[in-house]
Amino acid sequence: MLAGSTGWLATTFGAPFHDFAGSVVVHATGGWLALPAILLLGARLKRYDTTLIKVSSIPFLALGSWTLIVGWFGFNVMSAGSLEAVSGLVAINSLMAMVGGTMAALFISKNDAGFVHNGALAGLVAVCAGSDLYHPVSAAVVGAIAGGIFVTLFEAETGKWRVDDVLGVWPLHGVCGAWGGIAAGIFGQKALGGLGGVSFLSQLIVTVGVIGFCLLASWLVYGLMKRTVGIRLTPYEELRGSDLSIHKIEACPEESM
Amino acid sequence: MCRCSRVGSVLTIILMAGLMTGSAQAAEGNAPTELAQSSNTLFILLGAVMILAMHGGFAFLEVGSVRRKNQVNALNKIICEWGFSTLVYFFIGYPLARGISFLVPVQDMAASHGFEYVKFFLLLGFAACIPAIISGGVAERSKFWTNSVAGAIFVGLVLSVN
Repeated sequence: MLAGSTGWLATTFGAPFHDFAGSVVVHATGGWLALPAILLLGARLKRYDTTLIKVSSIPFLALGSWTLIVGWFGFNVMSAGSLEAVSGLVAINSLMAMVGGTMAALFISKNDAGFVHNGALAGLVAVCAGSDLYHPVSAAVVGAIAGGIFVTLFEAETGKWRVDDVLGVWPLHGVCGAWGGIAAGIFGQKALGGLGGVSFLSQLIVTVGVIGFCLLASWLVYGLMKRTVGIRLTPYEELRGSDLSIHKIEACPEESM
Repeated sequence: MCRCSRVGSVLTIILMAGLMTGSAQAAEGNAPTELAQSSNTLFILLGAVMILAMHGGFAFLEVGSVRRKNQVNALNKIICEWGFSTLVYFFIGYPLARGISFLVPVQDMAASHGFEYVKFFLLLGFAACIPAIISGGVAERSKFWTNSVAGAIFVGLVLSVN
């Protein structure tokens, strides 16, 4: 649907929608599909009671982040589709955006481990769309802005607005992905050192269109399921933990004996 | 020292002989296009495998970010959703998005060094990110099966429309 509208966008605004490695098509789509699911589910039990729910393991969190970071270079570079089209620019831009996101998260969160490791991912999410266009310095800026967006929005979302998004997938993939789609229309321009051939309005229109479509689709699917079969564990199952309730085992069965 | 250089020269001769036979084969027929096609298949396969590794990353990011009583669930969700995504994308999503069905004789599809198959693998990696992303948001409280079905619907239909 949206891929088919590129001809119209190209003739109206001078360039078709450009999303090289899927900031919008993959990440924004995932993040905005997740938001209605999170809202329909509601917060975890006791999430906003006096005691804070903590994460279980920073080392595992960091391992996950590193695995994603390394794999991301395949995600972005191989989006070229063929060996003739391979571009080292995509690789260096991914690297610079990852570092930009990490640095921004480091300073804004005052060296919080969770934020620093997710900040790198925020930068990578945002750089996907224009990674074949940016100057490496612009890529660092795009990544840094994404890192900042992630830290501030995650705190507002889960703190102030009490939306219990456990891993912060809406700010990380949804908002940083949308930012990446729009950023390609800004930093991809020749005036800002990019390779050009992008239109800010094409980027904006398709990004907003994808967001609306995903919200609607997710609301329909999860809303319908909530009304019919239910989407949430019972309070007893949830308090016991989904490991024992669903899989009949704990992460370290030996220790709990 | 002397021995090393002798081994080196033997290796050089072998290598050069190999290169010469290689170029001789290239001169014979359509070897350059063969090499281009096989390199493309390898290139896309490398990308697909790296994206597959990213799904391990999604799993461990979630394992670390949830409470201990939900770690196993995080691991099982990510690998099972990869499985559901593969099946749905193979039979529905990819045919819808690209107009190509895999339910044809294998000799029709295995041309160009099986490029279409690795292309599917790569795009599946992108598509399967959708349920993996949602998984992190709905962690610790969602039902396993309803969430899996929702993810499969998104991979099969929503993405191909997008």
